[in-house]
Amino acid sequence: MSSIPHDHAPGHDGHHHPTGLMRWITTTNHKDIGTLYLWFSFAMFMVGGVMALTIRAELFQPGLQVVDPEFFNSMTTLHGLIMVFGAIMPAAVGFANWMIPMLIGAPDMAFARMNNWSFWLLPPAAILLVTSLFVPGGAAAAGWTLYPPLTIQGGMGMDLTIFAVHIMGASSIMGSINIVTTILNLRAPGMTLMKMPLFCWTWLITAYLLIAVMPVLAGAVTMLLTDRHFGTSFFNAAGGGDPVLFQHVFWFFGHPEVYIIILPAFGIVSQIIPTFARKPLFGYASMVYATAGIAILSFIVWAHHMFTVGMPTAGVLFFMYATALIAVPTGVKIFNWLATMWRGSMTFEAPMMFAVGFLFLFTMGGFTGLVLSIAPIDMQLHDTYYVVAHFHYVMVAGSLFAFFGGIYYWLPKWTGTMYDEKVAQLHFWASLITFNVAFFPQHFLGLAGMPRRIPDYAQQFADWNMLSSIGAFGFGFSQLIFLYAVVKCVRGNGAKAPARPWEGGDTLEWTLPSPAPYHTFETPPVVK
Amino acid sequence: MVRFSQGRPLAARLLAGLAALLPAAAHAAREWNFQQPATDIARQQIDLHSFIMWICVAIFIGVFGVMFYSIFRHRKSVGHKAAQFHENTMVEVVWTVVPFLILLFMMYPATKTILAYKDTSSPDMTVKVTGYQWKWSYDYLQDGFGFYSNLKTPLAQIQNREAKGEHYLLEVDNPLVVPVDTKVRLLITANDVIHAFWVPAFGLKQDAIPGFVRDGWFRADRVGTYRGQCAELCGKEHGFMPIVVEVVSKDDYAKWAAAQKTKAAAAGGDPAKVWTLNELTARGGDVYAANCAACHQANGKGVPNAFPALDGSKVATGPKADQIAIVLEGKANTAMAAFKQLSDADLAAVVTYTRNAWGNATGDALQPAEIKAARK
Amino acid sequence: MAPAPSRNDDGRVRAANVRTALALASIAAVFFGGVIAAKFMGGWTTGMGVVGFAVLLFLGFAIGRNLWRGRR
Repeated sequence: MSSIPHDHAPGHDGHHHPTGLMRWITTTNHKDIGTLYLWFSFAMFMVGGVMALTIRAELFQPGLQVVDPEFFNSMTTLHGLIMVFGAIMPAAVGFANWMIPMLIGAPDMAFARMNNWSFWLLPPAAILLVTSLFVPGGAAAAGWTLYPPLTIQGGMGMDLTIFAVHIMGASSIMGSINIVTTILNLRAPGMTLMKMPLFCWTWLITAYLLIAVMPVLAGAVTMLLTDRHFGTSFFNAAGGGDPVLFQHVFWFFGHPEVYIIILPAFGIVSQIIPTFARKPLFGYASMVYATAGIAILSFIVWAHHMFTVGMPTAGVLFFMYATALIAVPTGVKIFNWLATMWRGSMTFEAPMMFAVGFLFLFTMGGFTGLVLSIAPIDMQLHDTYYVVAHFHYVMVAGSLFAFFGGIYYWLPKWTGTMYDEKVAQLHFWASLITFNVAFFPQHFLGLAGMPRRIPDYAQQFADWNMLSSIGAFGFGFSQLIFLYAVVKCVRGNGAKAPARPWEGGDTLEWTLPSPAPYHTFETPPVVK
Repeated sequence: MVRFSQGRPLAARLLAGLAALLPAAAHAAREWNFQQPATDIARQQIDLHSFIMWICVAIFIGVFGVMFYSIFRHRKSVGHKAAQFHENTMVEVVWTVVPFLILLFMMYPATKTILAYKDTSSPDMTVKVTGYQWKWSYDYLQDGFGFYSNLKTPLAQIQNREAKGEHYLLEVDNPLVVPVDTKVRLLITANDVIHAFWVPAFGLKQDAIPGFVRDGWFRADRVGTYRGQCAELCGKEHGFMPIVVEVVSKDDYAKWAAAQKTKAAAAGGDPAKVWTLNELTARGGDVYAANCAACHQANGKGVPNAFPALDGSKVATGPKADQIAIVLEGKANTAMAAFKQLSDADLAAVVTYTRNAWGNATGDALQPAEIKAARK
Repeated sequence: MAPAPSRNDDGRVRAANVRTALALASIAAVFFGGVIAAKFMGGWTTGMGVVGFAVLLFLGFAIGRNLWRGRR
């Protein structure tokens, strides 16, 4: 059978592909690359997590105890960049690599060698970011949003960060082109677009968003670079530029980025809930339209991150209305998931627990998002810990919880071994409780007036900060349970997984044996 | 709409009770809601927030009531058989349209407040606010005086060598003073990077952007001291540039303003005066502490790899003209900002101080006239 | 070998893949170049125009392509 991966990598016929390290460096197999993405993302999750714990250790009490303010700023900056670009986004791409070909009945991704390249660009970018901590002047300390003119002041750590962003952007764009092409051109016969599992739909739309906005970010940081070294003044008022324009361009990238982070999570949850409710997804078509609606709206709401820069009143009103409007398609999705659960026959294995935890906590993040979209309230809450709490509810309890659910959901298919249900349930409850202890009090801090990104704070914020730090350390250590559960499963230490470990699973991947063979669907399945 | 009430609702008391389980001491350490408002805008913001929070709470209870009912009743372990419905256009339309209508209901008061917030017309007085790394300055444009406002909390408290005071990190040497019941318009800008002027009790937050002037306003209706902070990351000392506003009676304000005007006239001083080395280093020490010590440190050692030492540096012991140029114009692409906004006497004093403090002993005593000559 | 012509005909699938990829890459290039060029010329409205036009272009492309595939 001559299929696409064979064209790219002659000799990869499943019998004598290279072993050891060379296998992973040269691989063009979507499953290997998916695995690489997921492990890379976990490693970055740990690195970013250590930075978060450094931040929380410093904020445990008022006064400066652990780090000095400049290093503290580097920590907040790198924590943001590493978690967004190093942990969450690669994890989503890892899921896409593993699952999209299996869900649409394709033999592999459309461009297998480009797939290898998009992954192997990431480790150098991560190395640039981490080594920037050790160069003279320290790492970038201007926040992950990189606002000039503060970014013009930094040392060479800033330049390393800019290059890292360039490389990660290139990686994302290539990955996205690959995903869109795979979904559009390689579906099995009979698999029409409106029959695809919802995970493929959310990724298709995410990939379009990435292709549109990653170049914008790359453009913005390129202009920063030329402002820093080549005497241009895009963002320098003294030379006729405007620092606020950077913010417009950055958030034109940054708001769709929020949906790039959450849409794949929506997709995973939309696979998990019907399986464990033993009932088809409610309102499939409206889910697709809601996803597309969210994506389109995400291009016209960016300036709600900038209500306090002093926009004209008409601008504030427009962005406030457009932002609030996003609540409508997002609400439709929540209601559809609830209707899927309604009158189902539910069981609550770890993937379902994470999906329900996602629904509950993501909705809370959605409500605080609605509060923040109201411009007059945002004038108080902008750049406070309320915002920090809000985006951790949607990114951690939202995306990350959905990814945990997805990992437990598909681990039996990936490894051929069932994960340890008791350990996974412990991981869920530990994460759920410590997450809320860490982040719920931050709402109070924000309301009471604590700005974000400060290494030291006034006395009236002391108690909630202490509680938040305790929760954060608990959450950090809870993730070791996750590592244990995954490693146990990967080493084959557990019950053997059947081809269809979940009674309600009716998508194509469950028709394959567990673990999924190295090459799948070389003969396309027929979809009725 | 519900007006902001002084009494604490049940939820507040429950929460406070919960918080009492925490180890730490003072009640003030666990503020959990908006600060007491002192302007009508801040009051409207709080009302709006309560209004929207209650709507959210109602939706939350409704939606998750349904979810938890379903979780407990529609589970396999209680023998529930799955229905197979998966579409209903009517329901989809309802749960698209109803949230939309709820949003319209929220947008009306929000729009009213934002129109009021943005209306900076016909102020009674105007103050220009400038953000610096890392302090604020206030210029009373109609009265022709102005001053800097620096953090007053001693370093020993920040470094945990002394007990922290009541207003730790929220105290300054010279607060912004304004009269009560007066519409004060602020013209807000910055000298180096973006800062943000924020006083929670006034509900006012406005970014200070270098090269651009933005405005905001407030009308405080209670006499008192109100504290805020810079709200936009502006570098190393971002957490250490508070804002303190004293709202005083109109009479007190008139007296204060008159005193400030007299002081401003006197501060011009005699430009021909020749200063002694001791006078210069004494004054220079104060200027250094307020403007330079944040980076170069009180001991002149700087911070390795970030901010250069002055103690023994080539600049502070080399030619005077080079050092004056750097202090006046800053150094491109570094954190060293231009300090030409300081007076000739202050600059002469601080340069003299750095050339004679710590291990530096050049013996130079710069005169204000030299700075004046170096200004272009 | 399954009787699935679109899959067995490797050349055609590959050509289609490359066409899709080039179209997508050109969108990325327009956004990258557009944002800098617009800034260089100094017009914020120009920037918004370029970006908005490109959004519509790629939407039109995606929808149009889908319709065309459906008709075939």
